[in-house]
Amino acid sequence: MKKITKQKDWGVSYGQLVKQQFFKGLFNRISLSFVMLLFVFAIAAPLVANDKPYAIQIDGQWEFPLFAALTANDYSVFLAAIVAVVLFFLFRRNSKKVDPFLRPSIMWRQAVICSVVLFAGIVTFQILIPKKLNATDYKFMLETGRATNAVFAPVPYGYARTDIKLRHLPPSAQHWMGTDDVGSDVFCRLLHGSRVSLSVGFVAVGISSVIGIFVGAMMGYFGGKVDFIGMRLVEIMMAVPTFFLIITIVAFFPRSLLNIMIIIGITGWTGNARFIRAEFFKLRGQDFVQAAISLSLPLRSILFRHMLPNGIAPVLVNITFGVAGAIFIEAALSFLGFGVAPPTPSWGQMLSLSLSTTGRFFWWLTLFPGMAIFLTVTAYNLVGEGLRDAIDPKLRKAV
Amino acid sequence: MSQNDILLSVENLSTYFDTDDGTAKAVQDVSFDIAHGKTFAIVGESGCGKSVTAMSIMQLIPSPPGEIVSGKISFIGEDLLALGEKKMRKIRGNKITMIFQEPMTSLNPVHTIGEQITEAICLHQKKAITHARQIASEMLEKVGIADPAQRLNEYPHQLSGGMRQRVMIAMAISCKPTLLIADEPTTALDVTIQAQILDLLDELQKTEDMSILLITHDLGVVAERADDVAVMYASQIVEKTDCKSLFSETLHPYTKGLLQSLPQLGTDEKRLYTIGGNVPEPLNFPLGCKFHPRCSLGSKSQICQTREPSLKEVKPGHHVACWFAEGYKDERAKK
Amino acid sequence: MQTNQQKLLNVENLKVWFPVRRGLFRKTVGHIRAVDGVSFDIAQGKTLGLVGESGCGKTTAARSIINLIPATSGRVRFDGRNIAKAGRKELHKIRREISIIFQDPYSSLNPRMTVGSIIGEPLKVHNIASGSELTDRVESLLKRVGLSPAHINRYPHEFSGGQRQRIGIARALCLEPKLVICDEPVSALDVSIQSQIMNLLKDLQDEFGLTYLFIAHDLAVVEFVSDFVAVMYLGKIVESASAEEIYKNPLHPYTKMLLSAIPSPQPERRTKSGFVAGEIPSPSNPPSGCPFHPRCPLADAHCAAQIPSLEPKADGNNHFVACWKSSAAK
Repeated sequence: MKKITKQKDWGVSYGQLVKQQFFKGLFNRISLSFVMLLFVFAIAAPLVANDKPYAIQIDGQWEFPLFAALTANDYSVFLAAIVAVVLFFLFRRNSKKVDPFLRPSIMWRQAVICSVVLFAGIVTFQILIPKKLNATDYKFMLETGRATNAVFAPVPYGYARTDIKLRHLPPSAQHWMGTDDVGSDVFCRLLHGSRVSLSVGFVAVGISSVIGIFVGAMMGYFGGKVDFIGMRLVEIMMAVPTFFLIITIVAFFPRSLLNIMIIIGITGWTGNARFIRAEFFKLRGQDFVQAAISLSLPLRSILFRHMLPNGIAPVLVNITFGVAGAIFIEAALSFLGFGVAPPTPSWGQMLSLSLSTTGRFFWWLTLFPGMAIFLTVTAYNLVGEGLRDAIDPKLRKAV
Repeated sequence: MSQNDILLSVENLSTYFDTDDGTAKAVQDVSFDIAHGKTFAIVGESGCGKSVTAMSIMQLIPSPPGEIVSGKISFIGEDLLALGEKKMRKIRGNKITMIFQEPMTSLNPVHTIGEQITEAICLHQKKAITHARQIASEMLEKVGIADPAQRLNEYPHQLSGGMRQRVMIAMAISCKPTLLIADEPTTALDVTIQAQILDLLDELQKTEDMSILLITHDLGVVAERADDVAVMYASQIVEKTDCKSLFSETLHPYTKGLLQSLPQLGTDEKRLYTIGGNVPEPLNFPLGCKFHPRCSLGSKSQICQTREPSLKEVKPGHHVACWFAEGYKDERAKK
Repeated sequence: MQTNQQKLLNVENLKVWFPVRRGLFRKTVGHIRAVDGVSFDIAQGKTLGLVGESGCGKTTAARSIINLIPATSGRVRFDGRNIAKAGRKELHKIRREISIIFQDPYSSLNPRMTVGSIIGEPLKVHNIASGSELTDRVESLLKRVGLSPAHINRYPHEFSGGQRQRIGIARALCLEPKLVICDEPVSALDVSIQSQIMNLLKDLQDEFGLTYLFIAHDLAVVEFVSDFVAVMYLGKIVESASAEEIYKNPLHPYTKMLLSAIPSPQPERRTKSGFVAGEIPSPSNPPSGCPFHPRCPLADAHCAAQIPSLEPKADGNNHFVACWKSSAAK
């Protein structure tokens, strides 16, 4: 790799300054680590909590039922996680080793290769891995002595187990967080439920920020009629009580996770659009944007290379709060019974089980899912708060 | 000047700021005297510490991060630095007042002009509000604002930049100060307005009998208005003398460079003289004489790179801090 | 005005009016006449200085030349092409040949981009250079404006005002323009840096044969860099002449006022500038007749009633003035 300049001549970018500022706060670090830990557990949930053993010897033959039982979706999630980690380390290496002037094209190439790998992998998994039901009870096989030498996951229960005999058990050594009304292990369901919460937060906010940024950018840059129509659209969206709209829509459409994500996404973009619009109005008159126009740079570059990085800060903060909000909305929907269809677990739905039809109150069914929602939402809010402080211009010299 | 004539005397003033990257020595060992009824100018480029000097006199340095680490500021025999905040408040805005560079932001946009002027008068002179209004309208008349009674009810945004600066001056002189600190009073204004404001200050100085500390970057303004001048570079005074000899017998190479680099009207220059390099930042001052990396005389000389020259009187009333200045040589030979 | 040389830019009767809207139905109740009938030419390789106080419309005029602010009426011809009538593609082409250097070195550089990409991006998107050639071009531009090639990966906030202005100049030069609009390029800089930048601009003009439209409020600066000077007041040009002539023989009272208001760094020439009076009126409510008459010591009833037009001086010295009281217009 050709280097133009020595490393000591590399400038400090705004992103790096924000990062430094962010990592100064202890609570910022704690809450970010917590969120990252959640992600690790959500991704690894089927490996951590599964009623199938990693390995088992049946009639003297070694089998690996857990890996065989994983669906194409599970493998896609693993691949995505691996690609994300690889990209993270590649980018980190780039920022230390590759000359910044040459960096964008290299990073672009790496990102393209990674996404091609990811896409190809997902397609292959979906084609090659068949959907199959494995209802074999390996524990029963162990007890009967047909199988030996089994290695189980740390939480050896399936999230869809139903066993009337084991319902409403309080926390114990076998069931760390007790069991629910159909006898499922609460901890297992909690781990699997984190997938729902985190993906709702991510995808819904992804959708809303893409729409918000695009609409806001158009309104702010072009102004005039575009701005007028856009603002009326925003006002109409804001006048509608979002939660009731979501409930209504969810009632019409099939109960799937994707639908919930999309609905939360397309109702939540107004805040982002207004932030970006305000920033773009301000930036439109700045000399460096005028300079970009006068150098006849393409509109795409002016909007997304010159203006967006300068106006994105408040939206980034809003996005982290938005993730917390989306998690909350999903939990509320599930609590009311409009969420994902059982047996897929979700935190809100689990919370709703704490009051059984007999009127008895099971504290562990309230405490653990409730804490999960509370801690996750709090962590995201703290990250957002930390980010807001980090980008606050008052805390730093003029950048 | 004799001892009695001195209104304000600053001795060895040093003001430092704590930053994340270290201590910024914004003002270092600055000394000067302002005589009664005279205009003393501090001239220098941005970041040279001229405004911090003024803020130190007013004790408006935000602390933390700023701190006046040493020095003595005596104002009519009183040491301002030894006064408490309570006593200082009686002097600030009363005996010593200040006008700022930005007339757009130094007036409060939600109050009328009248409210803002009368507030200061009521506070310092303990006058009744009706009387204060009358004084305010007299003051506006004094600074050349037509129809003052009407203007008192207007808001700052209804006035032009020049008008606002006039209002600021009216506020500043309403308590009959003995020292007016003018921090770049005309930098944000057009030349024709600048000339009017400077004329106004000249006139007021005579009628109100006050001294002016004029802070500016414009040598032209200094030449036209000042009696005594100090040139600041990198937190220190490098040359201090009366106005005439600064321009006729310039001693410090920085002052010389500044003067030569100004484009002159009516001359037929093809190129301007330039001082190379950039103004150093307070966190990153060069060793030795702070001007040596940009200096044509001293950049190759050992002494300039290693030892810092202090401000010395080389002719009566003419102080300079340069190893190569006339009259400074003897001192160097001895060492 | 200059007929003997090839005109690069020709502006005729340029007007930029901003509508003032009021009331429930946003009815247009009047116009702010920011630029009101400005005409000038710039010859190839020369510098026209446009002087005036803030609010006189000089910046608006300059920006409407490359259609950053659309002109209300008038004709702008650049190198034989009419800019006002140019389509989007044509405008893009013309803009590559005209560039701007801005006043504020702090807001004119994108704080999120490195110096290298600020200068290199235009070269890249217009397919002028890529790969190692791009690097070489950017480095040589940096060297040419007096910066180190090692600065290529720094961000603007790591530079001082003067260095930033050099980056702005490098960006303005990267597409090898014919005309450079310098919009107060030195007025935000320190005195010792001003002279460096002005010398640099002059050197670059000689080296690349650039044509400058130089905008400033400081007559001394304009006189130094310009061949020809036009003085603007309230959206109109009130006097124009060669730089030497306008200093030695100013005809318009406003030019005289500007000249007398400049503080000169010579204490022995200390004078009272009693002649300087009044303030520039708002362009939304300009005075009748000659725009300068409320501040003019020579004004009479005729000045208040009739607008003087820009007329050549009798001796044909390329000296134009718009004043009833000057000998030119009678």
